Amino acid sequence: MARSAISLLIGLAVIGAYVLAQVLNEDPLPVPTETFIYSINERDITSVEITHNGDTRRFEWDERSGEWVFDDVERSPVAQDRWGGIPLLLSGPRVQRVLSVDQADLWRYGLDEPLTSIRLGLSDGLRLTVHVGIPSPDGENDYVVREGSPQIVLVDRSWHEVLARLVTAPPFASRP
Amino acid sequence: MPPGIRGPLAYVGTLRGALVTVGIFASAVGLATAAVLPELRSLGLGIFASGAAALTFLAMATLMRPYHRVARRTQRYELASLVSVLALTGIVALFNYVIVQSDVVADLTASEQYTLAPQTLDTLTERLDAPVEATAFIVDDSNAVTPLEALIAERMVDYLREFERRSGGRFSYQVIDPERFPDIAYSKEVTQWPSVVFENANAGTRQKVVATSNPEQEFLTALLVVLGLSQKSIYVLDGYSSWDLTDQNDPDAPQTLGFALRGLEGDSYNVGVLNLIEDPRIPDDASLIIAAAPDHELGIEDGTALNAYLEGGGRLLALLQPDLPGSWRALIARWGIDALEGYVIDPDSHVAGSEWVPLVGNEGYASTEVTSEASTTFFPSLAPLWVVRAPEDMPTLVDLKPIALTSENSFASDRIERVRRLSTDLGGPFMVGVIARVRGPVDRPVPASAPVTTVGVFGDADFVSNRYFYAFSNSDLFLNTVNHIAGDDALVSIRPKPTVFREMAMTPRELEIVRYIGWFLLPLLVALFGSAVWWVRR
Repeated sequence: MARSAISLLIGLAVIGAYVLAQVLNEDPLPVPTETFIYSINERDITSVEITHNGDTRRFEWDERSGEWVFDDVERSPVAQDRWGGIPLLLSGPRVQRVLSVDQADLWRYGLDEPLTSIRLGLSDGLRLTVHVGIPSPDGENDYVVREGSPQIVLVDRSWHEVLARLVTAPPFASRP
Repeated sequence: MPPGIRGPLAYVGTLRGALVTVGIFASAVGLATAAVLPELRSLGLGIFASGAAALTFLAMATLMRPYHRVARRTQRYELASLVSVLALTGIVALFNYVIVQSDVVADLTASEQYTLAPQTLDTLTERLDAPVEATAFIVDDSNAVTPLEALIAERMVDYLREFERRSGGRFSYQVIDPERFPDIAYSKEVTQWPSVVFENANAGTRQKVVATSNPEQEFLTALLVVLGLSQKSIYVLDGYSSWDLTDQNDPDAPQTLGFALRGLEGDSYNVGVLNLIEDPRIPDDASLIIAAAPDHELGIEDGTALNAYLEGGGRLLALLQPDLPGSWRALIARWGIDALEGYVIDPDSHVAGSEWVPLVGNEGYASTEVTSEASTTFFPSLAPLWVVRAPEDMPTLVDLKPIALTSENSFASDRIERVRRLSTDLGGPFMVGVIARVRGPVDRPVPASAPVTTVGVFGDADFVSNRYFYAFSNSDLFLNTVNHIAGDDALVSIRPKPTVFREMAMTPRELEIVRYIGWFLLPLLVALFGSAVWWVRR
């Protein structure tokens, strides 16, 4: 009886060692998904500059009037029905997937010549820039990279569409 | 120090005690680390392995000591038994892990659900005359796909691997993450995943297969398309029956041909619907016309068109029902087959409790070309079929192959519910189905150079309704018959293999045997073995 038990123990040790070797050789775990590209308080955003297809629009927070205005000569206020949710959108776009890629491969995602660039000025003087590349092949997301980050992320297309529309159809307030 | 803990502490102080303590502690910490901290899994497993190794070493040393502390024989025996059971359990668990991780595949299902069909193998080994490359687009991130998508993707890759293995180097594949390599996905016009793009490296032809639950058949069809092998067209007549031709979702739908048509598409046929009443022209590419459960009369123009098609060497498969309209009866009679009046009642072979549903087992089949793969089939409300005259009196007849026959004691009843035979009833056996090859109508002299017409007839259509199509071998019998009539015995006709619901088909006598075995025989065997063990150990 003891002999058979020893044989089984030896068998267990052999197959255990094999399994352990297999497990240790497995691929590394996938990169954990981040929730947001960045996360800031919407009240900390002082300026927004969006360049889309070569056209640029700039918006600023006007401390005096306490509202967002176009950064132009007239300093006209933005239409609140269009602008209402924009600061919230800019406070931290949700990430669908994180891709760790080589910077030399940015062309694959249209990020060598971004379709849209979004630059945020923050109350502490820092600037935060995000580039948007091509849409993913299924049309569900856009490839987005935060300047200085080694990771490319996929963000739902609606985020980019809303922001790009601030350039293609600026949110002018209707005059009384 | 309390005397209760002095003993254990002293034991821990020994080499053996220290090893046991460290072994148990390391195993527990290692397992907990691997489970709770995935990023430290390797470290955790290493710690666990060290602890387990220490415990294993100690157990072996204990068992090998000639005079160890557990001196009593029974205790030694119990310890060895416990160690054996634990070791065996561990071996089984680890072996299971190795098998799951392994690429080695063995299909142990009764229906060989995961084995490539002979037709697929034939295509991969004989017909693949150009290198074909497949690119599977699968997202390689478990966080980004649903479990169902992951399962489908895994199954698709399994088939691609098997295709590559069996192709002798003429088929290859690669797996691409479409979100990581969007340029490749765009270049192959992939917008959905999981999907596979098949490309003929020589001809440049391309075919895409999007996520499918039946990869083998879809992949085979794609292979044929990129190889430039054409698909045959089958047309199902519409307008003569109240049956639905479209519903491919409801598995319980009676009088619905959706599953059967899907099965034909699965056999790589182009399936179309043809309404001769609206437009009495039969397309030139028709390889076969199917008339399912006709209960409306043929008109003059459409009847003429159908007869002309058949006289020109056409192929027809008629799935009839009792109370067949006269014009349809006359149509098939021209080709030597007689649809008799009434319903077939088969007292010897029927679905339990339903004498009007004849059951055909291996002994009932007659045509090996069609029924070689079929096991049991059944035919609710079957119309009796026979020949219009003796084959020797049909000079144009090339050959006539009954597909299956009912039993000797079957008879034709005038009502479905009358299962007692009357002396006036026509006696069996009857043909359940038949295929006739004829050079022109049987009531005419043999023409000099007439083409061969093929007419297949079943006395039932219900067996291919959604409700019964995947029951037993009904689908195989139907599809094999279509393959045979269409001249595709050796060509593409792989069966979709849906998840099989295993039924048991039994005659009433078999049902009784099974019932009594369950009630009496098995308990009796257990009692006998128990008694024998008690007697030996007494």
